[in-house]
Amino acid sequence: MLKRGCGTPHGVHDVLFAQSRMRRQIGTKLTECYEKRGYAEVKTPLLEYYDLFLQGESASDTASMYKLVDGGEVLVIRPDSTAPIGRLVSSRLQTAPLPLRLYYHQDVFRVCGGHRGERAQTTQCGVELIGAKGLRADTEIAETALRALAETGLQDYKIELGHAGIFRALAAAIEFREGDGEKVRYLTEIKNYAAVNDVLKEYDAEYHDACEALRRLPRIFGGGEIFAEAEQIIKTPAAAEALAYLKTVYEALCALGCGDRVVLDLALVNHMEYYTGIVLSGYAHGTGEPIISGGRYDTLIANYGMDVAATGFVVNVDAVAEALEKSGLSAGPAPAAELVHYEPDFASFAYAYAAEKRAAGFTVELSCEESVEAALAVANQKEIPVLVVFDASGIRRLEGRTAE
Amino acid sequence: MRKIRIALTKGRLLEESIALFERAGIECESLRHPGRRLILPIADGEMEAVLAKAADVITYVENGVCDIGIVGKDTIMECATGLYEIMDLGFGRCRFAVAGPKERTLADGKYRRAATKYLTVAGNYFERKKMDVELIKIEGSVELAPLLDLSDVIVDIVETGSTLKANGLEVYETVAEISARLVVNVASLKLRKSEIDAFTRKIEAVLKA
Repeated sequence: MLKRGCGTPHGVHDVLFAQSRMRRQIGTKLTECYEKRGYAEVKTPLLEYYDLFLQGESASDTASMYKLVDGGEVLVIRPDSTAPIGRLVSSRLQTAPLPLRLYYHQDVFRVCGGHRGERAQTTQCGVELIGAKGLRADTEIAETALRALAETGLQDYKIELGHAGIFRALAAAIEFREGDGEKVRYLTEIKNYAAVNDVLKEYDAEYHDACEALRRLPRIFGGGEIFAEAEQIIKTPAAAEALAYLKTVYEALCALGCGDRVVLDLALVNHMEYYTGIVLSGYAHGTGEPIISGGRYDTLIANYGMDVAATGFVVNVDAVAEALEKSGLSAGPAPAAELVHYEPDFASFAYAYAAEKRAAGFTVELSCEESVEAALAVANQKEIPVLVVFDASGIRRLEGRTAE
Repeated sequence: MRKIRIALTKGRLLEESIALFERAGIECESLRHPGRRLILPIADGEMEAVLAKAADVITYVENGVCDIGIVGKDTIMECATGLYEIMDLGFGRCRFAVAGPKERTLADGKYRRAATKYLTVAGNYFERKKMDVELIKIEGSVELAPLLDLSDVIVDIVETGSTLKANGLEVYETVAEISARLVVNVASLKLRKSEIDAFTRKIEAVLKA
């Protein structure tokens, strides 16, 4: 007997039948969508050096990595795919012509502490567009994200766009005392309007314009109408520039006919140490976690030795699958159309018959039973409507339960 | 689409939540007489409410099965990882504090062991203060631990301080101020903005009054 019974470790699960099929189908639809846009697949190792993930990551993120030791080296089980791709680009793809369009479809692992429904293992399917800057690249990534989600069959979803430069420029305009800048960022992230206010009070006299904008920022999210309000309150030049750029990208998406799926949030400030421009994340009814996230990260890859601009996004395949399952969609295969039973001497006939049916698009199972009665019992149990028997008396078709 | 669902913390916060809803003109008769029902219609059937223990409110809201929650900052600090905390509701005020024996022999921070129910809050606090304190998890009356000499101090929620006083303990330091917060699921705030906005505006109007 196994010491820990037959359970799986906390946060990871067996994925069976319809659920597994659903996830594979989503992966197939996404990767087809990416390939048609010229993205090429890469796979990175499950194990990486720990050091790789110390660039642009916060301390809490390092705590949630699965670590192991190989001789004297500390390794981690891949917690994300973007850093490994940055490493790959800086090494083997150093001389490849730019822009590089890469996609990946692989699992990432993060330790999850509480029993609160989090996953330790998540299937991700995303793209990176490397070596391209500006409106064309940013529009392509957002449009690809929107089309990719549409391909999965999701009905109710939204993608929100923001720009890391807005908050960064506003915060940089204020000389924060130690810790206050991070406090404002965190409070903005969790949209704690009142507390942002409290922290900014003492800076208001000296930096009124930036404070006023930061105070209002957490509340500015919604459709294209937010730009009018935002333009009024954001006066810091670099922030206004970022806002204007965000508007350009939004208008480009509207012109492509996907504006109705896009919302804007000027207070998207997660992973500020990582993102440098347009940021995006997406949500769907039926799951509380983001189904997609990404953005422009022009400084990350330089950490690995190649100074190159990059942007991308990742779809959380498990979250998309959950949303689809909650909406009542199931990817379960129908039971086989026929079960074929044969006496050993008639195997070649049975196999030829099954091959012909399969070629015509039917699912056919072969019986492993010793007798027709046992095969019929299996057909009934598995709800296979037809049993076809090959034996000395020729071919017989028995119709499931009615044949009893 | 399902109705906007709010998770309310049972107990003292519930009383205050009901009072707040009533002042905001949000019908919530069912909350006074829940009976055996677990999902209760409020706002004239426009919304649904569930009553839950504090930590469960966080779990429901983080997973998106409830869109909104009312829960104490203490529970948010202890176990929340990703939700919007959009409003301080002002009620349920108390504080996290480090407390110990009245003689104050340890008040200078020279304690090595602390008993607490709140391992995350206490751990983060001592880490911030660069102190090396061993935490001992106690499920029930934490005040007992220093009396039995299991720990030097406790980290716990203090309201009036009368329990501390009755046991010869007193507050050494405040860790954080606590009050009830309105929390919102990240996806819900984006996907159902207008409905959630309509609700929060009513609450805000009362708080500002």
